[in-house]
Amino acid sequence: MREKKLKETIQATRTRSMARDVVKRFFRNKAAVFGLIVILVVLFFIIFANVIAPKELVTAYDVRARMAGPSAEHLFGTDNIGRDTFARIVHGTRITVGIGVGATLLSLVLGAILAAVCALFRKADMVIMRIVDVWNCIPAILLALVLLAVFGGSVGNLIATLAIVNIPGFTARIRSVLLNIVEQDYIQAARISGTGTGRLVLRHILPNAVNTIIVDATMTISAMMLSAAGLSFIGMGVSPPSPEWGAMLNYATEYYRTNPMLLIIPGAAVVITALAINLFGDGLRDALDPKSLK
Amino acid sequence: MGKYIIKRILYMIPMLFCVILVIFLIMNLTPGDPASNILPITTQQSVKDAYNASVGYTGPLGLRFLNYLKGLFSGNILSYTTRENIFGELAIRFPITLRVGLIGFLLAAIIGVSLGILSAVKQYSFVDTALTVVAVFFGSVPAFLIATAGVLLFSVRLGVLPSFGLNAGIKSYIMPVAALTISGIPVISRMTRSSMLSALNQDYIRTARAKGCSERRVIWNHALKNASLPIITLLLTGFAGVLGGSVIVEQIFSLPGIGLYMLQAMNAKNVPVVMTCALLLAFIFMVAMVLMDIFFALIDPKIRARYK
Repeated sequence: MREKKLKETIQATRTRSMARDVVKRFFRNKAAVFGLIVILVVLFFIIFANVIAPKELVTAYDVRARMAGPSAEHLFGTDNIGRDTFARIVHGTRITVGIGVGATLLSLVLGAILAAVCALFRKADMVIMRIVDVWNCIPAILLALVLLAVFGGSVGNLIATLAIVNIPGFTARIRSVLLNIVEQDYIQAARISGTGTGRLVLRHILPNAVNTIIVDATMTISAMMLSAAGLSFIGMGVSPPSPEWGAMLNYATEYYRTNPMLLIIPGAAVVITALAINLFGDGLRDALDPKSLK
Repeated sequence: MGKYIIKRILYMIPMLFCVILVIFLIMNLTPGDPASNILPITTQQSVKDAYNASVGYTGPLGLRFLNYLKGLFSGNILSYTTRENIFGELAIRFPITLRVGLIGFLLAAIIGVSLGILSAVKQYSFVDTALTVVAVFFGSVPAFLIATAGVLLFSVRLGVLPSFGLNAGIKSYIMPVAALTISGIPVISRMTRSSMLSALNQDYIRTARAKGCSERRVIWNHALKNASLPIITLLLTGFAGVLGGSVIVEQIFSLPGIGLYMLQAMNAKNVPVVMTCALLLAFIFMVAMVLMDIFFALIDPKIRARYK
């Protein structure tokens, strides 16, 4: 009884100090903290979009204030038919970041399952890796464009398309992480002592792979977000009047000369969000790496 | 070694076959047909059917696929829209894509690798910090935004570069190439920096220094050669990125290259054009991949030994 309690205490201090170390290392990195703050603001926008700017403002137009510059009423100005750019950006956050996160999660889950099968079963590995090879040979953008052209660019299709394009990358990367772990001595030891496959994966392999995968997934979110915006920008993704940032940019190209603000604001939104996610991911990687103990 | 190269090249054939098969199935098994996309909406169904039959978008899938392959090998593939052989069109368009993509990639590779080496050699110096900050920032700016910003600045504000087309000679290439180059550099330079750093921290570098190697020799011969495997893998990814980016850049600057051709063909469900363009892009990518593998075999004695 006492022994068990002692064990628990040791366990508790151990996990707490590990987590505390990571947090401490993370907050020492100023760029990463900046990234975290921006991400929190973005999350705030996503959760409270309707509170910050009523949903009607996304489509409602104010004829008196067309092409208006920034003012108290219209923080980022208005577009050619008088729609409030700020409200559109806030609501666009949900779509653009949502696509990035959705596509990443979907491809991560499927990629991780494929990778786990590869790492554990040698025969399946051969087959899956050949398929991934072919998949990788079709340039990502090509597959994305073909799929979007035939199915049409809605938010759901964009998420599915980006996920499909991204699965082989995740599969290959997670597989190599897993294979690295599977070849370690402690996995052999666990196997020899009779650990079942399920327990082996959940208790021995996953905890050691999870850091790398989290960092990878973070970076993928920003890449997916940029791809979504790019596809919408060339007219293959979500189309205007949706306030998706790429679609807003697409729409704004007609007003290059008269109202460059229309381009600059969504462009800045895309860049700042992607930058924040990348900085956060970088910081996370450094903080999670036990070798960077300082 | 020769056997390995031949094997690697022959391996491309089934891969390319799979690529066209996948694109073919996606294009043919999905809703929509060429007539509905090309002819006016008001066209009668019977006219549409006749149109589809005349371009060859009818009949069993297997036969259609064989017909496409036959056309590919005899060098005669008809476009659904113009009813002309598309190889003439490709011969004009391909060099444009290749010029933009290849120059953009090479510049990105050269500048990116050099900056990465510089950063690694002068680790923690002002130059390194500045380069890292710039690389992190531009790593978050996609090619299409760089292109748009370029148009805003150089075409709209300053009026020195054309915003679309190829009518201004070499000037028309500056912005498309620059957009690809700038968006390609950050990843390459950061990766080069980290693999150079891990090479420079190895014991054999200390040995080389201890036996009196000049710093230049240490960096170029000892460190770079060992750091080059991950760099080259990354360059390949970068090449694929540039290839994809060139499709978007062509669309932004209305450059009549393969990317724009394919994009238009996709919207018209012009199956043979999409398939041939896809095949071409996949082929370039695979050639790059084979070159990389051969280079690996040349540079890495471990790999070379396996294929003796």
